[in-house]
Amino acid sequence: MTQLRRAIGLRTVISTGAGMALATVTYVSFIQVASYLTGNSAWIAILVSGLMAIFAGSCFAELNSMYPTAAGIKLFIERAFGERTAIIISGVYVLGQLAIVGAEIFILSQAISQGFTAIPPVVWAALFVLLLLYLNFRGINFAGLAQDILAYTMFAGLILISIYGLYTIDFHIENPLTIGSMDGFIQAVAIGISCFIAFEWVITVSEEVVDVKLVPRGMMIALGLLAVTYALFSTAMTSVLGWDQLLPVLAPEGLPIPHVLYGKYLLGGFGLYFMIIMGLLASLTSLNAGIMTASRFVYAMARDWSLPRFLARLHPRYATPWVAMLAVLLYCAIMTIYGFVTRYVLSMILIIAAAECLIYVVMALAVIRLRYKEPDKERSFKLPGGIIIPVIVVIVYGIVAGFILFGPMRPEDVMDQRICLFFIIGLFALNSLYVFTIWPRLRTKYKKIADERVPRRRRREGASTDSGRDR
Amino acid sequence: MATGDEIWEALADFTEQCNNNKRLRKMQRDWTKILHFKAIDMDDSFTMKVVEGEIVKNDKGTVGTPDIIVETDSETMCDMFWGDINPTQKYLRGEIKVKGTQEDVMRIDVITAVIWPEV
Repeated sequence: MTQLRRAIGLRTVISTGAGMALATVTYVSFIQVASYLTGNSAWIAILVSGLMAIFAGSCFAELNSMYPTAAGIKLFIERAFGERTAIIISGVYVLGQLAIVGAEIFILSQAISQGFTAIPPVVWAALFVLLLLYLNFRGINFAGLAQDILAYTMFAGLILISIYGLYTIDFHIENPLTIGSMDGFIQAVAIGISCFIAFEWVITVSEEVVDVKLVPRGMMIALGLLAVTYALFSTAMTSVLGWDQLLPVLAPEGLPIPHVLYGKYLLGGFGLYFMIIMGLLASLTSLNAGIMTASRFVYAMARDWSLPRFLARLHPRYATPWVAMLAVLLYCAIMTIYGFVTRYVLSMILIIAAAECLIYVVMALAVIRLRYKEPDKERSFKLPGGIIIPVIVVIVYGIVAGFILFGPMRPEDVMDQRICLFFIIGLFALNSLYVFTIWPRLRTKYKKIADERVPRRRRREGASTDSGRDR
Repeated sequence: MATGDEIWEALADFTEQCNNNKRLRKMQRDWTKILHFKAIDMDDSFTMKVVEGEIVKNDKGTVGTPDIIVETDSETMCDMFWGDINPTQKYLRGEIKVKGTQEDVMRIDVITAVIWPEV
């Protein structure tokens, strides 16, 4: 089989999956997770979330082995449930996931302004949005070796500072196994899911790997790396810093930057700037790739006649889909403004977690459906045990989604939960309305334009026949 | 099923369309790649060499180490080169498979989007 000149290997598959998931908002999620548990046991909830993500990831792996393409998620849903469902679900998923941008930029700007106090957070946020705009405009992405260096540096840094933190307290962790009530534990696991957001985007490298089997393998290793690093870091952070320091992090008027507080507490000024740089790198790599993927998704949908054609306009110099990119960045800017105005960071975390649960459930259902619909289609990776794992994923993530949207919350978090519920319902309503009203007309209109064009191949063949006849 | 000669003829027309399009040449001026096109329902393959946005050479068979591999059936390939189908639709439905970086997949689509915007 012919190999590509620049095919990527397992190392980059892992760094892509793990690097996409690591974001600054994750540190706040750790504290949210811990706040729902009695002891210092956030690590248990995070490992459970990671284990669940491995189950969900294995469903992605089977689907990806059937259709190894960057266009995966929409294609999987379309093959299983049809195009309308695919557009609605992928629309809710992409827009729900992009809520992370609001939370991420809000938290990042708060963190940076701790190190550079002369400039207010809102200015940092605006600068960061402009930087993302520039990188996307030019089509600059961190891929291959650059992605490897950034991702592995961040993970090594986090592991080292976690171990150092635990060393300063003689590895004495209070109540590491006490989880408290089951309701609290399930809610903690639900929030923990947001820590693994976007690991599945590793499938976008399916078309550039040496061997497509590396994608499922890399996905599982990335999830393992994330789960272990997160468990270690959250335990260190909640053990070293007391709740008197951590609780204000969760208050709307508090600073949502526990990682910066942790770095400063441990290593003073060096720790402060170290954590700011770590956060900046994490945000830059994950958001840049996320926005680029989302804008290309919008572009592809416009080229596919599923969205208005103007969204597929290309920049005349850089060949980037600039209108789609501006639309995505505008949405992200609105989410960022929402973060600054309301400071309801948890609501954005819950939206992301709900969008993730939705896509995991749909992917598991797609595995089940395609097992019956396309039984003979080649699968280089097939889940063992028939449909047991997908059924488990549907049940478990269904329960978790129910907890996110309707489960018992602390009184101060109820508003965040309501916002999340109405946001998700709103996304479904908007996408459904679009698919059942605008989309059919759009398709008909573009199809008519395409049909009016005489096929060039036939025209050419016709011309040859005519000229032959003339002779 | 299209024949190898039909695909070759379509490829020649595609090359002409690309090289004569100034807007496309400007957009793709930093794009230097080797592309392999494989028709999965026949044994024929084709190689396209692009240097700074200009298609400088086409070959029958696979020549050199590719940056991008495009696989589809011969009919779709022929229609794609003539500009008679929307390749994004075929790609999103898994009927055209592309191996390469996301950036290169995007660049291939840019070509058809620019030379046949109405499709």
